[in-house]
Amino acid sequence: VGESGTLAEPAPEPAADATDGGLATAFDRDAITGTRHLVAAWAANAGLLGQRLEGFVLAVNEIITNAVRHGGGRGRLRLWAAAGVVWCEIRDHGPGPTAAAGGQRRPTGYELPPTSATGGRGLWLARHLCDTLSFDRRPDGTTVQLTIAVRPGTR
Amino acid sequence: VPSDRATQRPIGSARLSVPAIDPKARRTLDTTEAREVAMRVPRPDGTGRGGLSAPSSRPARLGDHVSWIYHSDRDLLGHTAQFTRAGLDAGNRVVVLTASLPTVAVTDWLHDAVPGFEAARGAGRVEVLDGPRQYLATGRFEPDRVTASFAEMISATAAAGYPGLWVCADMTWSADTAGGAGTVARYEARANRLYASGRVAGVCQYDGRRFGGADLDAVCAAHPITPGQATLRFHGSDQAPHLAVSGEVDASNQPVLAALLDQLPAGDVEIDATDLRFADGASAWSVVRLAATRPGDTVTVRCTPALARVLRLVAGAARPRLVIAAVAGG
Repeated sequence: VGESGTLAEPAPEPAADATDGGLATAFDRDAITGTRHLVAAWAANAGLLGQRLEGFVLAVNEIITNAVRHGGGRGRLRLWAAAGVVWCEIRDHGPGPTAAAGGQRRPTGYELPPTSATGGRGLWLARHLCDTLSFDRRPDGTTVQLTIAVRPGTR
Repeated sequence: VPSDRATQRPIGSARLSVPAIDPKARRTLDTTEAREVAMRVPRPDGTGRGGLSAPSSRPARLGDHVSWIYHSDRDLLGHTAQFTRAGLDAGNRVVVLTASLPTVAVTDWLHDAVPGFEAARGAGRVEVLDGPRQYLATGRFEPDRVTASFAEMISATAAAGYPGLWVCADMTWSADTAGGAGTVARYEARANRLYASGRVAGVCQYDGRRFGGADLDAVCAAHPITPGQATLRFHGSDQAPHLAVSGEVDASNQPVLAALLDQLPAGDVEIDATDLRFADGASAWSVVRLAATRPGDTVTVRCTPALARVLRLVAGAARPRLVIAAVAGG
């Protein structure tokens, strides 16, 4: 599992064109539901099943929701499959998981926020529902990468 | 004339007398009429959350609470006519609350666009009321009073023998309300409780030219159904500590679930989420938080194995009195 702040490893390049079966789409605040439906259909078609599929879709939903809420209201999503692994990359225009105004630590998804906290559970869920979760934070935005093996135990 | 006096009557200001339904008055449009109406209804020009052609721009069944954004007067009139026709066709009592256009103008439009409108109006099956006079009867917006008034209207409609009440409300008055969109969004979210009885359906029309993007997000998210967004349906009663939810809940309608949970009566609570196909992290957390904030009460959730897993993850080690019953094949 990648450490926060760096991508876990170089990702295989996504399909350069749509004919290779990758998915690339932009989303904004009105498109959380629609983007999730696209991702669910694509991932099911790529072979993800049952709870792994549902978990992956939820993880992507949480990252998209974070991007809309904290990452400038919009972003871009790419999905592709390589060597039995589904990759999802979400870019937004925000600073990424940030220290809240109260000076709370920057959430990374490794710890479950306390009961009193209103947010931060999306990353926790994403980390548990996917095989890897990693961030790349830059001044102009944040890229989050998720991976999940199509079949458990192949990675 | 009753209909004129009704126009002056604030919701719940007096005991509502709803004329009993006349079964013979129920009618369906013949195809010629339907075609004629379709041609008279303005073309949709909306995109995103608006749009007349969106399948969920009006209630599909009793219990539905829909938000819809319009961008022109013609949009608004066309949508109101479609709503009125569909509500009457299904045998319901229809109430139209106007705001940005004068009540008389909306009434004239419906007279022309909805076959049988005058007969229905004469029989008390449809009323066109001045919205601000209803919502701001005391001169300011008092959400609890308005909610109580709607509850009374719903009961009176049921008592008169109608399957349900269909309410179409132009909410544009709320753009000028003290507290702004936040106050209206909280009211809308809490008003969902009324819909849980399955005796009312409603669409709230917001003027996209009068509300900013963030305000529209907030008011739309207080509705379980917004065209193009997740659709949540729910059922429960005011008395029983039971709530059944189905469909999907994400950032586009999550405040609805939070408000419904918040208003559950004290005591042990049962939530049937077996038919909930998707719940985001914030929604799962709202269920766990319900249990965490009600010490001594047991919260039982029946749900799919996938949601059960998510609930356990967000509950963590400090699990409150939350009983998670995973039901396969939900």
